[in-house]
Amino acid sequence: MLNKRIQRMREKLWNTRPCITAERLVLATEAYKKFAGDAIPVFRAKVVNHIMENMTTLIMEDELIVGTATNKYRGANLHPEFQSSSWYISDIDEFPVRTKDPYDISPEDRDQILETLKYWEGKSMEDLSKTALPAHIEECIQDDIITVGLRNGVSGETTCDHEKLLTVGLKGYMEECEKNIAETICTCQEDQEKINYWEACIIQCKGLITYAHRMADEAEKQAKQCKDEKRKKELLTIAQNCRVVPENPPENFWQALQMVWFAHVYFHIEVCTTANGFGRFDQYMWPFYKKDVIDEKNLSEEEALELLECLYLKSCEVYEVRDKWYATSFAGYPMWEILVVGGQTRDGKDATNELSYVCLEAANQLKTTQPVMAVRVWDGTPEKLMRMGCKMIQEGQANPGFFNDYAAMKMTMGKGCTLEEARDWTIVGCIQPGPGGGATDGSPDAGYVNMGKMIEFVLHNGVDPDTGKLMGLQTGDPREFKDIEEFKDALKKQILHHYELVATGYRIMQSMHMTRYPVIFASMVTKGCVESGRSVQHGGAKYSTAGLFITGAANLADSIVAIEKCVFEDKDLTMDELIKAVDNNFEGQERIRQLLLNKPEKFGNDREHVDGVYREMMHFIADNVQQWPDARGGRFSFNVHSQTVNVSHGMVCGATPDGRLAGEPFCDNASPMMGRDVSGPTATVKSVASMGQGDFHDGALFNLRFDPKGVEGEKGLDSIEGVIKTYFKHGGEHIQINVVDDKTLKAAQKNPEHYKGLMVRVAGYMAYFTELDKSAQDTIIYRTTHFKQAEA
Amino acid sequence: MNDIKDPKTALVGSIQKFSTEDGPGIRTTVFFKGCPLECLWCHNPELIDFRQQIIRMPASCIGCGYCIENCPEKAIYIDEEKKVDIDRDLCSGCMECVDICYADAIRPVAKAMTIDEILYEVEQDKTFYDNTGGGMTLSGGEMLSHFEFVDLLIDRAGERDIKVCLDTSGYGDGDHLEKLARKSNVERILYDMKAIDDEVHRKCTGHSNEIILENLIRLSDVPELSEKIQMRMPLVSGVNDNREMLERTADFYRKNGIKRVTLLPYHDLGISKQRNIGKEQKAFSPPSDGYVEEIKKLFQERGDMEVDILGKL
Repeated sequence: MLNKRIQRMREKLWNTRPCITAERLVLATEAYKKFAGDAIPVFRAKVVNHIMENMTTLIMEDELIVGTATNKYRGANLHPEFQSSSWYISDIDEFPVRTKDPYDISPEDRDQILETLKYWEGKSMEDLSKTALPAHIEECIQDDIITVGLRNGVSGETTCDHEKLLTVGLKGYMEECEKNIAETICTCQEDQEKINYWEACIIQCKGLITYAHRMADEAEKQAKQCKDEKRKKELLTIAQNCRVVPENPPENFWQALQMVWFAHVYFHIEVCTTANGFGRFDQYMWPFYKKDVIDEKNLSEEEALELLECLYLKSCEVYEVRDKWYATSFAGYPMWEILVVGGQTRDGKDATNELSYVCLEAANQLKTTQPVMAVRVWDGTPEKLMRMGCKMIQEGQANPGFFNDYAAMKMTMGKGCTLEEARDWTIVGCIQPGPGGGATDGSPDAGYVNMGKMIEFVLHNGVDPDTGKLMGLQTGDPREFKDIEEFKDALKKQILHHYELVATGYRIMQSMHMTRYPVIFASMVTKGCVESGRSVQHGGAKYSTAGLFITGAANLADSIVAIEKCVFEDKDLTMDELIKAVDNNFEGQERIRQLLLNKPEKFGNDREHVDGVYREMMHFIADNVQQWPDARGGRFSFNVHSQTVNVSHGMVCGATPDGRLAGEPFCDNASPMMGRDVSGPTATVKSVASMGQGDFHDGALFNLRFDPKGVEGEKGLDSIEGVIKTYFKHGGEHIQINVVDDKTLKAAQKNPEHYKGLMVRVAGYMAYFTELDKSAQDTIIYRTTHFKQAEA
Repeated sequence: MNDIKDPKTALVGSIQKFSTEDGPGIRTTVFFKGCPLECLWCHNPELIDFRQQIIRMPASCIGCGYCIENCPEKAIYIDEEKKVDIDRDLCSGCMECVDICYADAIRPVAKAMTIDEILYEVEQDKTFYDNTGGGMTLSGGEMLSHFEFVDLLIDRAGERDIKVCLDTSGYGDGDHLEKLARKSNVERILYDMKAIDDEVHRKCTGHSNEIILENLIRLSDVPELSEKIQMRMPLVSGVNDNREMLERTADFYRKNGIKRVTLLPYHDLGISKQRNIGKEQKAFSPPSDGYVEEIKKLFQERGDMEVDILGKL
């Protein structure tokens, strides 16, 4: 189905390993030395401008959409402003050989990197954060009790206001900034800061325009040398496109795609960002598609599809280099570039159009890990769109993910927006709904709290049994607890205390980012920032939220119910015996473990009591933390979401009262603990839907896996659709379904090259199964299989 | 073992949600315990006996030996695979071992459930039924043998707007069957045909098929009931898949206006379950894929029927 060009390009993608390159690092370092002294935003803008003026202009064979964040294909930049040069240096020979997300480095790049990094010793945000955070918070992070975001990454997770970008072009933004500067008479520091920010915006716009013009030059140069007439013509069109956009609004579909990509390339050159989604692509691109393909017929449907596929392939070319811990916790080179289709218009009509289908079809044909497709579903969603998505799921693509408009709207309205903005919600992050396409800075990953550790603290009166240190609150000797309510109260105290630590640490980090690394360009294209003269780091976005995450949510509920049933109600064992059993990792006490596993109810089986405990605990967290302000005047928002931090956090946690053994991963995101949902997928779906997700402002991430046999044929499509719709009817926000069998995955482990295209969704993003390391693969293989062999 | 005398409850082997091969849509299947037939290949052999039984689950056994120490009859031992087993001649069925086995490696086969208890589980998936045209399927064992109970259960499901499929061997009281079949919320009758030849049927099931064929004709004579019939045919190689007999079957269906048939090639999942309740089951094999396709064609062409194949592993 893919045409020859796209086939070649995809082959190249699959056959090229990502690599780390030195160019941006070298240019940024030059600029740092050259421009130091300017006001921070202006200084930062000049640094990026220097890169844009000097970086390699790379146009590769077959490309129709151009622009790369580095000087090599599948190249990754180093950002020593954010990430510590110490692990860049210590890991430099490990990157190519590490099992999780490896990167090649050429000998020349390696030498240049090592030489240049000397300048950065102790200067990165990550280095500074070590002394910036209070000692106790730092210790909690080191012991994997909590995480605090922003320590080695950029602050801000924005989904650009593409509609405005395509309407006014960078020219429009520059004019707006100039006008604001002209109209501002400085009366205080704040006014000067606004002017600095607007000036920085103008510099950055010019930088990107310069880069585009240099790309045009390169295209013309290649065209001159090109013998193939067809390619020559393409190169000349590319050159012309680069002269029009991003400076001016695009004149056609091709230029609009090129403009979107220029903006996205720039996000990745300025800072080491992730999760810059494509937003409601089928909405803002529709006028261009309609004009070229439907009304004026300048482009055939096939040509438009090919161009779109070229953009999709481009989105597979950006990376964020991560250290060992994060490479484990976010495995599979995820970038969370989500592309949303469907849903409602601002005035409440169905938003689906012909481009919505073309967007899905491109993903269906390409089967690449980026962009991740998201289908918004409401009562008016055409059956055809739903069916198309379900068919992709049935084929085992694990793409698209489905989102419930009603739940997402409730969440966004919880963030304070209007109904029109809620209807225009889009994903900011991986599943977090943000109001009014391009109006939100959903600062990512404020931090995670490890629920396993919270249980350990209650069982040991604040002591971490792993280290013997008093780390948590002293909530009393649990042997004295009279009932489960006392146990739950102690847990709630521990949990809230640790979210407070995360929030405190995060505010400190946010404040450091404000003063050092305001993100200029991504802010400029977010609603509110140019108007207010403030970056997203300063709370310039119309809506600002900071996500608080959780690991081990199901283990928490299961553990509470296990203690309630076996210790307090049935008195099968005493609290003391339970503590000793978990402390010994159930060694010699497998029978006790079996009791804890089999007797009490477990989350994920549509059982009222345990599902109720889960709901109670999650709401307790959300109701509290969502009241808290962050450092830029935004609010924290809660989501039941672990990414794969459940693996890292499980690794340091001893056995838990739900029968989980020491070191085992916790449950995956909002799913039940692996293997504990034994009542089939319908029961799992209902349990997860019952947690009252609408009140969690950043939602809940739900992975469900189906055996292919359970979803065969037309009837299988009905089943998939029925499961999704039922999940939504009961209040679920997001569901992603993997349809693969264990046999396929095991075969893929043994013979990876025959399964290069095999994809799995791992916690909100997609990864090639064969690119994951063995332990991550094993987790996926053992993740709940939801189709029990038919008994009758 | 105790007979369950209370008519308010029935012994239920399991309630299986997300059943996708027991009628239209997403369904919940209720398996009743007890069946008058004894098919050689039965894949739910633990549901043949009308009485409660104990089943062992070797894969779950952790070998703690607690049951052995506590069995009053000394009926439990560890087998050569280091898993628990029960000497059925010594076992008195006191259930002591069931209560103390934390690993669930020794379990009762079934649970006595009231109609309310069953409906609570079934109704949990109501939204799935509504979204996919599914509902509840009554299976077993033989659901017809629990007539009074299922009679009421179906009506109570109807009050909750839940559609029902009957999965039956047809071996039971014709009046009972017709009464159930006529209920407005019974949408489909999955009617087993083990063998149309009486001699073969006796060999395979221990009983004549006379009543089964009589009941089938009785239902198919009533147009609104005939529409509900979906034949289900287990196919066991060399046992009931003789071509000449299948041709007779197709002719019989055609004559009686039956429109739908599901072919169920044999699978051997019953063998281990039979062993785990202390009996042996002979291993059979399914007809070849090619032959199953031929059979499918036969019913399509000679019987003018809609045919599908299910139950393959």
